[in-house]
Amino acid sequence: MDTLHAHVHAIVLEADGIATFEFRHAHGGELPAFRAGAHIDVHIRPGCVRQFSLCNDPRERQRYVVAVLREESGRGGSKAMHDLLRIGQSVTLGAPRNFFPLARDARRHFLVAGGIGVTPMMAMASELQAQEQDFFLHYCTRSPERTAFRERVSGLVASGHAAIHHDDGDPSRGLDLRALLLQPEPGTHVYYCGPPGFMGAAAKATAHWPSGSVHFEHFGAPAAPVAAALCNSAFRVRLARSGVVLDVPADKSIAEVLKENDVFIETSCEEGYCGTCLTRYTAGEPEHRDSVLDDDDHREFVLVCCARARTPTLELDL
Amino acid sequence: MDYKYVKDCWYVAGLSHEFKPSVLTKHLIAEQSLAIWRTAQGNVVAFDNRCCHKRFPISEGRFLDNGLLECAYHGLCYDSAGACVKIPAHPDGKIPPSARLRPYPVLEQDGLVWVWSGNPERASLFKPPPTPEIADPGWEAIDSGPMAIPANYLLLVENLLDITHFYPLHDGNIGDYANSEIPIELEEGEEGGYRFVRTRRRASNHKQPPYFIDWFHYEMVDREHTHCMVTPGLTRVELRVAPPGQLGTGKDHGYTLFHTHTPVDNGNHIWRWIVSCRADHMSKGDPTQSTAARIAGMFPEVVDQDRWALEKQQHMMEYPDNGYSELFLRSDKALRRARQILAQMQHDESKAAASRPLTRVNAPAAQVPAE
Repeated sequence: MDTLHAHVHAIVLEADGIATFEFRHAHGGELPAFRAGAHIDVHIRPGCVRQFSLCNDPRERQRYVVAVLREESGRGGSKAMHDLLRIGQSVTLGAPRNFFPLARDARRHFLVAGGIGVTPMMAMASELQAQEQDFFLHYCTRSPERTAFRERVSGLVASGHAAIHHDDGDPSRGLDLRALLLQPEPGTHVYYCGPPGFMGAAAKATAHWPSGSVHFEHFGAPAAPVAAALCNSAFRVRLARSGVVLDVPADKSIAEVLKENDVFIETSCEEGYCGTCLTRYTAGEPEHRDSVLDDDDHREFVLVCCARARTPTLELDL
Repeated sequence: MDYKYVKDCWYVAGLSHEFKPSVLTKHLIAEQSLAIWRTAQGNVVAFDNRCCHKRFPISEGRFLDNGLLECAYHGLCYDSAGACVKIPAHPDGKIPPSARLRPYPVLEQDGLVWVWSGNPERASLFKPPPTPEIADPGWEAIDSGPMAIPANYLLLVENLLDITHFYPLHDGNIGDYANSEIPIELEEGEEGGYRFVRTRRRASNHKQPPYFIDWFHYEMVDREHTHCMVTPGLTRVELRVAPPGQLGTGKDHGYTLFHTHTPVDNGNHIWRWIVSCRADHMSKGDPTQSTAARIAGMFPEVVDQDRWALEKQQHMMEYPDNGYSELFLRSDKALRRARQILAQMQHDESKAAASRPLTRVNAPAAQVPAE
């Protein structure tokens, strides 16, 4: 994957155990663009690469900001970030990748964050605000001392875009996700991110929502790139030339499934803009998620790094 | 995308007329040094250029009166099958069984000499594509000869599939802004074991640019222009024009233009163009010249411009991407498909290579029988 050379421009203690790290390009100038929900790889030290969601406004092209909770019982990545990174230090970053993008056709965006899971939501709030879209952020934390971005979220609270919920360490006293998400609203998309217990509760609370309207991302995932964590439904691809039928589970892209089954397909951006994985399809209807093909192209081609299927089976010219 | 060449492929070593009987020629193809010659019997043979004894290039050797090839270093002599038949240091006449040149599959077809640069076991899965207009006496074919281009061959393939660069790169000769506006149809298929990708541009009542009028007469035409990456080693361009409504009625003018792109290594390739027109078609601008000759006269300038661009592009490959990604335009679909096809071929060949033990250089290798 593409890497870039950056340096640590600022480190700010945001809350108890939470610091934000601001990276700027080693040679100055603009960084590769990203959209809200994207993450970057940080090469903290040799052999230690961690993914962190970007929390700053995507319109800021000079910097990437990540927020990191120091986890004493983690695998060491967050501790290393806190203990090893110093202002001015050079650091290698992976170019932004986005497995948690905002839906483009939503009428309303409902953001639900647990603890440090708020980081991608901060970028989302910026992007949605800039686009004057309808959104609301529920931010669940233990206590005011453990609440990152307090100032920024207070502004959102004041403008009627957010609410903060403290549980003082007792989940039963926290926000009732089940009640909150009881009634799916047509056109509303839900996004959630937080610690494992929170993720489980949110998954249960959204189980009855229409497919495609629920999006989530786990953090503290394995060091390997996180699989596309959109809430997708599963489908099958049939390879027209070999007749092979493969299952594409909800958490994997077509390209990933092809590669796992030793069907070679070249990919590059894996976000539907570079066109590398352009593949012809012969039957079925894709759910296109790329940003480069036009309607005519869509009738013939599909970018298998990001597309899903609207039909149970999608047949590819492979 | 790794800009690496496909190894398991038939590549053009030259045109038939470049191989005279018993004249040694030396070639660098896919990072291998080859000696190729036409035997006294008339068939073309290709071998690893290393004498089996001390790596000395046998292309530096000579043919003896008895037709044997003598290495210029220690005098080992080879027959036209690559077998060593005489070793001066062994006056007893004893020839070790491994004393032989490693043969490369080679095929001569339609005026071209093709060499298989990869795993010989896979050679029979592919066939060199037909190029009838080169050998057909009803057509006049003029070729550029070998042109060394310091760029990965994929850059040339992309250049050839993409005529939206004619303006501005070729402004002043074949530059034609209108080219960039003709809608592109994309076709794909499989022939001779190769996946091909072809663009087709159809234009009706098209006003020809001046250089086309010089070549093909008519001012207003219906026109069909196809660009096809036939294999990783060959691109075929076909242009047909005729007065509106009369394409395919015998009034067609046009050319078939073959480009051969033979990788030397990942940063160099040999490019050849071969332009073929009906032998009886003459230029309108200079009726003493055949259309093929007239076109061939203009190409060197065009090629220089492409070479300039390819070299610059290759140079920019040396910088790390740092998040850079090429912008994908609608007109690039064929290019993306070509890359995907090449990448898939590389994948297939590396899979086949992984399942095959390394062949010793002088072990007998499978050879496709010459036709």
